[in-house]
Amino acid sequence: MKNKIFGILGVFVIPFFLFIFFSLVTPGFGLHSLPIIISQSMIPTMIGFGMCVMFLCGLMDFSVGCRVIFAGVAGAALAQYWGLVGFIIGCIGGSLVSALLVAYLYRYLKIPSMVVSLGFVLIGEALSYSGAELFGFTSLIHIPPSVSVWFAFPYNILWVTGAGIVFYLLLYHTKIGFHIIAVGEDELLAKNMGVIPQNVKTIAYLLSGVFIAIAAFLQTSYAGFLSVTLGGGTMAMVFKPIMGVMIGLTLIRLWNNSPVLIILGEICLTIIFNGLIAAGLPDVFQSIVLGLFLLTILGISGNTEKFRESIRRSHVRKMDPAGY
Amino acid sequence: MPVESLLLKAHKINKSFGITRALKDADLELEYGQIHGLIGENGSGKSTLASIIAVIQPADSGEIFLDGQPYKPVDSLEAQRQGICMILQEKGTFDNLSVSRNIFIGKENFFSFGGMINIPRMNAAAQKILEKIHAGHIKAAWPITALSFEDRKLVEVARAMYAEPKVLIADETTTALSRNGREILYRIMRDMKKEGHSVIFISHDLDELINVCDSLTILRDGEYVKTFEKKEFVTSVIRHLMVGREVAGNYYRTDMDSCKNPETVFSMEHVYSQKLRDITFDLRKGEILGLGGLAECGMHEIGNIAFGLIPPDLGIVKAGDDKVVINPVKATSLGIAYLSKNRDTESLMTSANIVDNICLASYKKIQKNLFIWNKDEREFAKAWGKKLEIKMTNIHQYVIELSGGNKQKVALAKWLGFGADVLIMDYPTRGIDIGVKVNIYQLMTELKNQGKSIILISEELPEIIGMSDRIIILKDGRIKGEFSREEKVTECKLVDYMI
Amino acid sequence: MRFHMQNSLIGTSVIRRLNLKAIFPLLGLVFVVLFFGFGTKGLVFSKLSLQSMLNEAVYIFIGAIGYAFVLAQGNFDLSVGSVMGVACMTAAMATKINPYLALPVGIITGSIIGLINAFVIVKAGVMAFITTLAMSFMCTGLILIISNGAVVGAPLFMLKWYTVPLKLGVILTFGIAGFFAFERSYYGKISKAIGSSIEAVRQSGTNIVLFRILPFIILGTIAGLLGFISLIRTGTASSSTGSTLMLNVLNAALLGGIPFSGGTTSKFRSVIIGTLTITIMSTGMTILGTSTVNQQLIKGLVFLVTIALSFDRKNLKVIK
Repeated sequence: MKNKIFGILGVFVIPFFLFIFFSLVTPGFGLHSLPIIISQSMIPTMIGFGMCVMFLCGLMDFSVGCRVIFAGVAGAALAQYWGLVGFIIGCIGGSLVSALLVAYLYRYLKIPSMVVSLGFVLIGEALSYSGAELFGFTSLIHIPPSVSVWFAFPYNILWVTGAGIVFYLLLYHTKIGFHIIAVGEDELLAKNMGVIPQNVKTIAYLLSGVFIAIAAFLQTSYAGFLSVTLGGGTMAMVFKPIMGVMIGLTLIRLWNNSPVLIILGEICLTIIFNGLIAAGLPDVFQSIVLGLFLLTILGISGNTEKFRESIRRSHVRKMDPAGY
Repeated sequence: MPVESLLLKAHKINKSFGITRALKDADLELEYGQIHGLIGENGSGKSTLASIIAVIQPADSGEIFLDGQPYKPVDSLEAQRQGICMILQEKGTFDNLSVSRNIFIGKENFFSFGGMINIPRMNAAAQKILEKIHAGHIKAAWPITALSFEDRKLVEVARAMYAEPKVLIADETTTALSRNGREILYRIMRDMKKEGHSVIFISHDLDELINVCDSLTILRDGEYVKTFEKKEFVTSVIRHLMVGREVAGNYYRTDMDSCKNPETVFSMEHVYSQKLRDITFDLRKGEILGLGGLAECGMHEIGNIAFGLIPPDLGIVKAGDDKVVINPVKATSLGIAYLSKNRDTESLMTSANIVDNICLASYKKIQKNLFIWNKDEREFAKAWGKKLEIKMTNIHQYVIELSGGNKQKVALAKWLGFGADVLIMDYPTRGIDIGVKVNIYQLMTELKNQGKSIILISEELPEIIGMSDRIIILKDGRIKGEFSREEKVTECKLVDYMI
Repeated sequence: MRFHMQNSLIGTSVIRRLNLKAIFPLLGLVFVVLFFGFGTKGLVFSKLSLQSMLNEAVYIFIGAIGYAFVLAQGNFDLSVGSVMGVACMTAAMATKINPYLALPVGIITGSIIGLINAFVIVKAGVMAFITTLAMSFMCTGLILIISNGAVVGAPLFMLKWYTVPLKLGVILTFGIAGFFAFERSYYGKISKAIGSSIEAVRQSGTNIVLFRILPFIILGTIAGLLGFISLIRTGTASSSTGSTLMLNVLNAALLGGIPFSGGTTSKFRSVIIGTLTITIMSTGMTILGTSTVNQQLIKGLVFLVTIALSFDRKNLKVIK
């Protein structure tokens, strides 16, 4: 029991530490940065939840960013007619529709999910752009302040907490959650146990759509407008979520609670970035730092197995063969 | 016996995988309240038959009767509902789920309410079954990764027993269990017997089967051989029926001399790895060295290490004049070739054609001034294809369409074209028809006479005995015995060293 | 093209499928020629249009040749366009010192980025998708840093270097060299084999690491060259240079018939067919006035459909 409490507390140590570090070292960074940091972490967290559901099911999906935009366009369009309610319906509807599209493309084209997501990014961006034009927007989509206020600070914390609870219950307390994990681990075995992998995967896409919808709420409301781009730019929206998820999940041994870990991972990331910016990192360097960070984290996490193996080997070499 | 008096009857079951016939008109009769053993060598078809009965995979033809009625469930879940549950040979648990979730995977509806699962209730039910099968030391709420391999297997047992099956199929389950675990399983089986239910018990441990079973069915090469009742159990007779084959003439080597050449072309010194302990041996020029043992004894790993695919933890692999082998590139430069036992996935490119496969190791040879001309490739491949008598429609045929034997010939052609001096052949005749097998043996003899050396790794004892100059038997990663051809050693003697 | 007349074990349905796989690139080309030929009332084959197509074709053909090696191994590279942009920018900056430095600087820039890609993907084992995606992102940022957001120009006389003989010469040279490299060289054979079964190649004693690194470096170098060509064609380097390259080159290789999973069935003629198809399609769409949005939509659909048609599912048991 004591271990568990220490574990839970331990998880909060790193973000806390980082915050203190940057507050002390960097001028312009302090308690007043807190709302911005939290707000900025929330969107990648939501996207992170969406991607995590996919990862667990064994799928790779880089179209999550594009789906956020798609949902946002739909939401903004309906907000013009029905205000807040329209916005919510639009975002959710748009997100689920795009999720289903990707799901069915994956299911019936029978090609790797990664490839499907790449193709969908192209199609989805184009559809979002056309949709935006259709509803009278240009490349910037505006949301009336009366709507966006419900998703800005401090309400965004409520949304994220709610989403976190849903994520937790989903993974650890529902049938579909178990099935997603099972299919992701060993699809053939799951099939032998009576689970239907194709259906589980389609549902996984839909579930990711729920979190993408919330991300769309937050993203569109964050600055009051949404920018729709072409050319695959939306894929860059997955970098921060992926990093946050990886950072967070390394601590899974301390506390087996993925949603909280992901939230904290994103917060850490945002603190680091905002700290660097406050310390004088020019805007243009951000993308390079982001990219380098991502590759470093992926490189390290991908090679832990090899690392462990070489440690094992060096141990063995030191031992006496007779006692091996 | 009449169908009505049997709990389960499987009649003339046939199953093929591509060209390989796994089951040929196989039969099985299971009485009520009986522990029925199913035994055979690797490839005898026992797992296939069991998985067909449990509807994990469908048969090509044949009938099954349960309680005297035709038995045709659509999937394994329905089979379970009708009372047949199987514990798989391979890992059957999910690492990322808890014990109770593993037990109830696929059956969560019993505990769910509007999509949400009542976890305490599920855990309680799981704990109840675990207690019932006398495995109460496992707690339902634990993650499965906290359990030993044995306990994980017991979780699979619990899962199978939850449905209170009439027929329990245990496929090599005891292999994963220690003394305690086995006792648990035997107790379950005896309890089932008392209720008039039965067990199909698959194991390669003949002594265990003789102790526990009421009757025993032997399969060999996919065919039904014989069923023994308990009073008829005689170990040697059963073993003979398991392995003995009608050997139509001697198709192995006819000479009975071992290799006399003192020149060493390959050696391993004090090699240790995850599975292997202190492996030291050498290979002489013109020698066929047979490595044998049970499937998991480590001989396949020796093959991998010998070719440099896996570095050993300790020890050295040397070729010829003291050159060390550290990776496949070095190995081939020293004239060593490797034929993996996973032919389709490792030695061949099945989605490529014959030419590409045969030329794969020899491009440096075929190329003229940095260019590799189609004509040269074709002639190279044709020449070797002809030499090995590969049956194909033409040289551009895709390898995936060839029979197992011809596929192996393509792999061999690749290495012979390359000009290897040392060939490491891991289970080279697996799943190959007699005709091609004979071809391959003739080829091996020819190679030996040309002064090439072969390491023959095989799970088929007759093959090792028939072809080797020297035999090394492994058990649990250690060398247990070494025999020369002159000793004319028998299978039984080797088996003693293996087990 | 080899068709199997014999009763194969797999059955006639597979033979029919093999036919479709072998033919669809040509079908695609014919379709595109007819569709845009009639759709633009022949304009697409006018002198002006042909000149424009030649310009496009230079990029696409050379890029697709480099890409073919990456695809043949079963890999891919999302950073080609951005690398071209960076190379163009560095070449432009280099002209400020000495115009003749543009070519070497451009090429070296491309090679270095290709090398980084290669190491991260092959040595560190990070997935090609995300590595090249991240790299492309970083390159876009790099362009902004170097140029400070401005458009950089090259000395005007360099525009005169971009002549028709140059374009044709480049296409011909790369075409011949590419053909021999892809179809008749050790490098080409091994690359394709790696796509078919990397384990089989490894167990044949080939130095896998080396052969997996090379395509990325070469593709990077080619992207660098294309950056230089873009510079002498337009006289400027900006953050939008190379933005459409990646998709066009990838689609060209795929439409030409190189399977996404690579392998020994990849053929060089795919590059030729694919380049023609994409060039006509691109130019045709521009003439027809298709918006950028719709062009992207169509290219995305083409991408998905092409891969679905040519994907080799035989070797996979499950999991996508």
